[in-house]
Amino acid sequence: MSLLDLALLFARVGAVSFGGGGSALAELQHELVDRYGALTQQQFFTAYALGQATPGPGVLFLVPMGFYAAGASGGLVALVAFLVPPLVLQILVASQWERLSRSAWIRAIDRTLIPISVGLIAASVFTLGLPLAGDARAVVVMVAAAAVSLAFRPSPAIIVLGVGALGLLGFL
Amino acid sequence: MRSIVARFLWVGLTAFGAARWTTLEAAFVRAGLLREGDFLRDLAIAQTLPGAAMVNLSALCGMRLGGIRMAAAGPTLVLLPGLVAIVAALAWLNTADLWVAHLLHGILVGAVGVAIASFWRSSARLRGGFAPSLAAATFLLIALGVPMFVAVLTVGAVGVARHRLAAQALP
Repeated sequence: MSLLDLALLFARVGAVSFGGGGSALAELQHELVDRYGALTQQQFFTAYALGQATPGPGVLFLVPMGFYAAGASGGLVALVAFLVPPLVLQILVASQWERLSRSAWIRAIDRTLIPISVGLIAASVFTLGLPLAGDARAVVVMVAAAAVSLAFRPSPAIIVLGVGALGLLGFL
Repeated sequence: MRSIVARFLWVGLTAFGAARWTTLEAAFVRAGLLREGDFLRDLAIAQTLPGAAMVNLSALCGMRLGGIRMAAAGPTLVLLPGLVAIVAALAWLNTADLWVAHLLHGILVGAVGVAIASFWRSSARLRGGFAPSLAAATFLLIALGVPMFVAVLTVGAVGVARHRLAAQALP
């Protein structure tokens, strides 16, 4: 996959992703794995797992995805292409927000984006969870992790790294 | 200035999981460097517009704290600790090693569990019949292989049109 194709893909996906970046996973999997064949399914999962194991914004999985698709420069290109265009837009909009926020159109967009984000998160959960569905132990642990997260609201890092430790010890 | 740089780096080092923006709030609002009203306004912008919300919010906080230079430095500093960790992992971790594969598999299972919980929480915020329909339509279009850009624009157009019509119908 060329760097230009990579930049265009990540810029396009970044332009319509909201929240923590996880909403873009279904589209990235479709493009990088199914369409371009630039990543294997396993590399895609590895990239996401690495991103979850590191601190900071939840979009760092972009770096290993770009790396696996086009080498070290691919990692940088993926991150920059995904993040920079929306960043510029943010700063432009922020300077005009007082005026824009009174617009009925902006309020309508705001009310529409929340359910769209929920739909995108659902698609990402589906993309990541479906290949694990055949593994009974993984499903049980996944559901337990979700239940613990909902019931006790611990830091997600504790859950992610805790289940990682279970994997390391051979329980998964 | 050095203190602000250190705070952004600390945010990058300690932010994990959902609602990572709370670490920015702790670093700047609770420390008295930003007003809560300004921060909440920036949070609304960062969550409404496309992109990674925490990276966007770092830029907006940086803009308030030190103009355009800090707007560029904020996201860079927030990304830096994780970036170093992930580059080190790519350089030194051999994903073919059995223990690495087991560790990453476990992390993936845990992360999907957290994502399920995040979906559950966010879907509980949807009220009435229309908002869940929009969420379901977005999910179905993506699951059917429709490109995300097309799905978001299509569902977005329907949602915005409906909300605008509803607003106009009000007396």
